Amino acid sequence: MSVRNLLWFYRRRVRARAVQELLALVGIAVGVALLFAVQISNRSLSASVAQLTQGLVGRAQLQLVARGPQGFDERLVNTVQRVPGVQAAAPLLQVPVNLVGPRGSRAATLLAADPRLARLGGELLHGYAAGRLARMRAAVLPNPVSDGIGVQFGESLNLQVRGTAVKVPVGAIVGRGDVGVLADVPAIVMPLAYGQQVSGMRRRVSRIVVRTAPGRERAVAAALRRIAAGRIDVLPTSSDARLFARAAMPNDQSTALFAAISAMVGFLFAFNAMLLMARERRRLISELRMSGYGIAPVLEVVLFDALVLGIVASIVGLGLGDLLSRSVFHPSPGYLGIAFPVGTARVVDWQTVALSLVAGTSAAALASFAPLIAAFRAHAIDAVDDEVDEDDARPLRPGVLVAASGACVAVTTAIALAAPSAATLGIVALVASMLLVLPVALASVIAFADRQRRRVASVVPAIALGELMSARTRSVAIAAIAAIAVFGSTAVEGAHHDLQRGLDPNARDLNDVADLWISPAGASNTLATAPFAAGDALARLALVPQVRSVRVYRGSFLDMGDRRVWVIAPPRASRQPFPPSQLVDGDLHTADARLRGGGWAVVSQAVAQQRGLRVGRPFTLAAPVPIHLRLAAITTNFGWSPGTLVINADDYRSAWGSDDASAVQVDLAAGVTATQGRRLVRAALAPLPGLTVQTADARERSDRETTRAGLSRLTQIATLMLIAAALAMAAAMGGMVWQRRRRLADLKLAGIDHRQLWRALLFESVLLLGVGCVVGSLYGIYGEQLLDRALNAATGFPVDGSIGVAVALLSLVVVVTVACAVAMVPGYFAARIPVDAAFRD
Amino acid sequence: MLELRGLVKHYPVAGSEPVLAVDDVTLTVARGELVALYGPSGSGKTTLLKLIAAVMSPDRGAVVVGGRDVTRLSARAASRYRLRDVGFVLQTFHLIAGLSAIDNASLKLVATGLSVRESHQRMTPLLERLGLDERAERRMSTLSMGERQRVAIAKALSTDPGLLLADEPTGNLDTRRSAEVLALLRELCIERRTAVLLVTHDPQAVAVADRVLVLRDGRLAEGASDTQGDTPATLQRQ
Repeated sequence: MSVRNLLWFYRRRVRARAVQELLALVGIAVGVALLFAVQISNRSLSASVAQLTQGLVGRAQLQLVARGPQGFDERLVNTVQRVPGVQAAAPLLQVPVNLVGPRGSRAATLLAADPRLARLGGELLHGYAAGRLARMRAAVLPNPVSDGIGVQFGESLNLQVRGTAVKVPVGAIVGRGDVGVLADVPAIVMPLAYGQQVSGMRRRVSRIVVRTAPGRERAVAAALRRIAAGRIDVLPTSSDARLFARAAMPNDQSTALFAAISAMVGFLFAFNAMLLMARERRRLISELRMSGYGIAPVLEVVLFDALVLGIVASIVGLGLGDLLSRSVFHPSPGYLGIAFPVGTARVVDWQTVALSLVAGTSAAALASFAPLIAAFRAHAIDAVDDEVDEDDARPLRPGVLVAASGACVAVTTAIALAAPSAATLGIVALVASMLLVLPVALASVIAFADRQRRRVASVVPAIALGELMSARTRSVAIAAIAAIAVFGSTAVEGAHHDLQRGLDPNARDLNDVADLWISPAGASNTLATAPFAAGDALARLALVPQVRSVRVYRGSFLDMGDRRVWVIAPPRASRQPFPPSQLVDGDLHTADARLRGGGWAVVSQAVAQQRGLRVGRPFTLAAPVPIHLRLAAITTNFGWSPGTLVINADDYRSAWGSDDASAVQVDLAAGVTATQGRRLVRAALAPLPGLTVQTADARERSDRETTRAGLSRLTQIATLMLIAAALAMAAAMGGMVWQRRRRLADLKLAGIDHRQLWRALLFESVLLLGVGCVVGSLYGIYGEQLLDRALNAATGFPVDGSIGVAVALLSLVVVVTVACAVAMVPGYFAARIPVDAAFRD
Repeated sequence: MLELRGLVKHYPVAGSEPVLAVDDVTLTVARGELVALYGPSGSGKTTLLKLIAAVMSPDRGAVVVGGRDVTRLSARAASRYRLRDVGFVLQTFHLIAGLSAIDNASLKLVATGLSVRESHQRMTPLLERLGLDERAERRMSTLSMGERQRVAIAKALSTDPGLLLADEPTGNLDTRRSAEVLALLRELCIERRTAVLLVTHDPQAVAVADRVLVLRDGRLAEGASDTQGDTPATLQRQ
């Protein structure tokens, strides 16, 4: 059949069933939107880190990177410059800071460089003449940062860095047009000398980036390693992206897992939306057959229909998904922003667009085959017969469905027990099981309700149940949308809650070791990893009589291979050097004593596994000053996915070659409350505005908020799934009701008034959605258990594996309420169809 | 039972003069009488049925059913009127595929407030009379077209209405089944003393009618208005 003829056919058909087509389109679009939005969020962070590295170091291939926050001597750049094969070398200072303006504060990274960095071709200093940059004694702020804190060009901001506070004038505000993707990075840019001055790191740099002559990379790297002398890392410039990828991997894996669930849900929404039109499509196919068309032209017509619908719906879905990703689902680096200068740019690549388009179109095409097969199996005349069931193909026997469903559950159970990292497959099997058992559950409930209705003096259940029994495919399709929505949100949100509940005791144990914590201000220092000179603070605290004791806590990040490990160095006299609840291997008391004694370390599982460490074994820690340690115990990663390492504060001082503290732990005298103590200590430290004083409770809350922010994408996915479900359901219910208007008119002609019809429609909706949601909840709870195991395997986080009945109930109530509310509207209007419609053909 | 007095109905047409669909129609149908209304497409037959069913109001005239004018009923009262006082048998059967024959037949009874069980008890003799007793629990998809039409007739008569309106009830049936259904309507009309107005194209209907009226361009044809009409024999001669 020619395309022109196909188009002619299509236009005529669409005119005849515009509303149904529109509702199917909405269903598919919602599915595509969900898939697209989740993908954008998932890919944006990793892509933005790679772009950031590129924008920062340009064409440089190698770098010397300091192992600690104290950096290394800037004069090393001259030595590096003289290495044969080095074309250009540029120093870079990177310090976590807190920016305070009239509108608020914001954690950021101070990036200080000199004109040599511009020669490497990065965008950071692009457009700034070398001489001008060198002379500047001001900061350059990206537009979103200046807007966020409310500072304009020419004004000053308050920069909190390493426990001090400095006024810094804003010399320029830049946007994407000036520095590309770097504009999306929470950063403050300064000339190197000025940056060193304000951060108190005179003549220190964090890294030297190096561009080599072609083919000389290996030789230059060897020379750089000799210069580094085992105290500085020599790495390719791509290592930042690799470190971030490793740090983000568990988060990405869990998000990817949830995104896969969302994708599946989206696909099924789209598929079900098409199934709702099964009767119309079957009727079309049968009419074509009765008109003498063979299988080939019928296939062409059906596929053309599906393709047009699929493509148009997918394009609408892409627009909707883009809107969702901008307004609800924006990329957020969460807790990873503490250790990495991550941008928040939305990166939409062609693969994401293509995948979403293909998914929407193939859902439409696949769903077209069901009526096609049914139409060819049945007598053509049946499709235009109103009293024949909409799907008279013989249904599978319940026993077969239940057995197949059980087999799928068995697969899921095996995956949960033996290979939780294959959770996506497990979830697919679980959804398959749910969809197999759903028709049986629905048929049983309908049969039960049908028996009960005989006792009732109302026409409402008879009409509702009669409709449900005559349209199995449509009924199962709608119940499936509800089931999938509740399943998805219960499993995802339940697992998210379990993850959060697992992390909460960890936050308490980590912070409850002192009454007060004093540390450099700023959200980027949530984990107490920024160093500061504590001498002045300690002297002032000694004058506060309500302070019983003070202890110096140290900590920072250390890159170990491809992991940016969180180093925790509690004082020897700490109440507990590491949270006992997080111990995985080793004896608690022995480990505690060894840690306090010195020369011993506690590491997280992934770090131990990667380095092949076992309790009691020695190892060398590649710190700024390499140190030999022995492993005292193995723990969880305390919620920091790349891994953790605990040593005592004195060992840290030796290995990092610095007396700087990262925090001061304060114990208060008996009878002094934490709030009173905090007020007194703040007063004593008033001349040191770069420091913040927190009670243990406040610090615990801040930790929880940080981890919550990191896990917010999971909540967003669960929420989006519910929104998508509500929309898909609205389309499905609207479609279902709309298709039935003629039959409703027939019933009105028989004297059944619109209120009874409306109630029948609602009864039908409640029954369908109720069954779907209950089945979805039960499966969702099982899915949550599987995801708990998968999350634990992927993240190494402590996960609380309790059963999320509350989440399941909430999802169930939300979906049923929203869908019924949604069904009420088209139901109301459909029930008011004029009676004379019964006389129309 | 049914009395139409000078019924007039126009349909508005955008940008044009209204179309006169029913023009001064007056007729009566007594209890136990079967009147066939014969006429070409577009002659106003269906409009007439809609007026009698209180689906629409006439521009002029009255529709009196059982001594009550139904032309100005509220939506609720019209619904109750269609439920209790009128039965419809149409070309399409208006049955719910998922329900059994007896469930479909007793749907109106349940809507009057009886329980399903009581309705079934009330419907059983009628279904037996219609030869459907053995098919009562079967779903619609397993019934033949003739059987479905009999279920539709049972449903129409379930509330014992005084008036049965049949619009092309044999339109979907073959000649043999059409004859069966028409004969059945004739018998039920006499047995239950129901007034039947049968709108049809089917020449077989003429044979079973007490009177045959011909509607052309919205008017009862010359000699067929008033209360006389043609006998079946004269119409067949025509």
